[in-house]
Amino acid sequence: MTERPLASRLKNVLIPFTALLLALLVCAILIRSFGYSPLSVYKGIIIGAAGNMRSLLQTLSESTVLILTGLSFAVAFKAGLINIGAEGQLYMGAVFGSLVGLYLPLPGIIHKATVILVAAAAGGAWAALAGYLKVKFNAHEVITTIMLNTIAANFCSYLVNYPLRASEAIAQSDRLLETAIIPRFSAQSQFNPTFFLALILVIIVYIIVHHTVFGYEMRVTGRNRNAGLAGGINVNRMIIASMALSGAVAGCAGSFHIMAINTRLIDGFSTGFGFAGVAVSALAGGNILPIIFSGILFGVFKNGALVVQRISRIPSDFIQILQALVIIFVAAPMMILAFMDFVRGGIRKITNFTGLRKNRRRTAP
Amino acid sequence: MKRILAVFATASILIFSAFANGDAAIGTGDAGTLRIGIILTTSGLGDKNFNDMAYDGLVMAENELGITFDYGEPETVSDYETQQRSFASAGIYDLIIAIGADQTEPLTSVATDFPDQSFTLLDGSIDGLSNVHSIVTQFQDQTFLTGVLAGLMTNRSDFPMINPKEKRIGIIRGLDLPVLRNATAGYMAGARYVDPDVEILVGDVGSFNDPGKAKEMALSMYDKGADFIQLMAGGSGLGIISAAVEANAYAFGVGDNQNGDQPDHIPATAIRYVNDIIFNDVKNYLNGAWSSGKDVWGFKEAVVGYTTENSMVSLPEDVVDIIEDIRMSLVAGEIVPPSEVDDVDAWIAENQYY
Repeated sequence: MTERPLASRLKNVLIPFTALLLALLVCAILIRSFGYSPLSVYKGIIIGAAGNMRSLLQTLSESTVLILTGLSFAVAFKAGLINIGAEGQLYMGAVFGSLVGLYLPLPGIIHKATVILVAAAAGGAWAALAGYLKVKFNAHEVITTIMLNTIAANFCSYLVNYPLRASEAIAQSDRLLETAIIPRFSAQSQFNPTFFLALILVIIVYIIVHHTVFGYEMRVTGRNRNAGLAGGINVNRMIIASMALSGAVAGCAGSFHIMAINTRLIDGFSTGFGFAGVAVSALAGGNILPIIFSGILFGVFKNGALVVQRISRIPSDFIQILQALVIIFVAAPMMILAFMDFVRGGIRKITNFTGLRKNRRRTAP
Repeated sequence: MKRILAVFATASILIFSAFANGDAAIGTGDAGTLRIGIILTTSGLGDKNFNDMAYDGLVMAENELGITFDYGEPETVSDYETQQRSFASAGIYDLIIAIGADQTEPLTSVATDFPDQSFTLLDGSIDGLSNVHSIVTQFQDQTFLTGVLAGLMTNRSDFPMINPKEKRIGIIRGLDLPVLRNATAGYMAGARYVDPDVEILVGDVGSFNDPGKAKEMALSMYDKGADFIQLMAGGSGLGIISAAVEANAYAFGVGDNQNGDQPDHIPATAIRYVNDIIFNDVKNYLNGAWSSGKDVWGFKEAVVGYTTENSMVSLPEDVVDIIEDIRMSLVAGEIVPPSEVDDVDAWIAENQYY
């Protein structure tokens, strides 16, 4: 695509930044009105998320899965599809990945790679199913992916409650074979190599989307389906393929989580990572590379929330409110633009009043 | 653009300074004060049971012993280890308490990595670590007296809500877990201790969060002539209570005192004093009496029991007397309820009240 003007690029950065600032402000008012100190909450987030090396690494570890689910949403979005199914695709990836991890004895690195590939295939197939339903029966992917989420989560729940159950007291499988487990760098945090794998995946997907014919066709399909058809693109195939790519990324996220964090399949292990991905992607403005930053930011919130509650006894629900506010403001760019105009107008009034702008009267209205 | 950035910088400074008062200090706590950390279960605060009781125990310790405490509410099982590690690596806690059987495995690895940190685990046991105190309670002790009450009352004709024809009572569990099997054995043994002919129906909901299904099971049990059902089903228990109201019959609470929830339908609760367990563990730590290893506590240690407080059901004098009598024998250790359902028959053959 053509180079965008600099101003529009700046706006792309400013809108999420302003949204974040506004969210912090509104949340501060909320926290205050409940009788807590917003400062100690925000200080807690920073200390908790980056107060020392251990917290910093833990934050990166928490952000790994968020970066990937954010990436999953963004890929489908590039093709004009709204994949709300990362949660289910992540579960499918985790389920099939852990079956390989539990029962297929293979040598170390090959075993890990197989688990990831199988998980990607499972997640991809689960998402492609929604794509197929769209193409074949015109079923909207928002509806089908949400429904498929429930099926996948319950399928995982069934497996760990019955056939894979290893412990009477807890619904979970056995520990994966040692060859399938990705070890952590140290015992102090859960930080592990999957973070770097996630970054590599982001770059690979960026290259696919922006520098290949496949990616070009995908973006054309996303912008204008009819134009794609007229241009000779097999739009139906593109829809299924984009969903598959999106699901494969989510499937990888699932396998990373079970290989490095849980080391086994556990009932309901996802705290809604898939849904958080929608927010991560929204904050990145639908672009691919900034997902790394927005993913880390949500990791900061998640890891910070634990600490806020631990050290200040302020309910961590406020952090969830904060995240929701960020999403609301990001999703409403017109509101942000109006706010920016309002602030600009306010500044103008103040500077006019104090006479600071005398020499610029020419540009003032 | 520059101006806009300046605006943002000013705005953010304003925001932060506007709120820069109140309890801004983080991690305060006088040196010398005992500092406790607790990691709750995924149900979190507000469950009106396990988590709330554990929290109450620490509030009690805060008021009476002058300790301070912080708590963590994990969202999923994946968060247990993160939170345990976060507490342990903070290095400011004298004692970290983890509650719930599903914290056992993550705590095993965390406690191994932090050998100088003391941990207490409630409802699970970890062997071979010198920094972990494991506490397990006797579920068969907890349900024995509600069993006795049901056994004494199931045949009475002077209570309109009791079906005097069949000697049938029930227990509904969330899942078929070992500890709940112990509770079942205690309930069965209690009922048959006073009347060997009582028949006990056992049902498993399959989940601790399915009140709808629990209600259906309870209604079908009441339909079969059961007059009392012991709850043992966590959040599913609410369905059993509403079934008791609908069928105009009785249910027994479990855990925290639930008698007040439906005072006309819940004559008693098989109570577990999680608050006392936590309070005493902290007190022991303060007095230097805390030690690692495994403790199995029951009626004798007064961590489980039976209460009719807040219930509007007035029990007949003779029943109250018998229960009190049996309670004394339990406290004295003269009666030791069986822990396995399979052992109940043999136990009944040896132990009879009359």
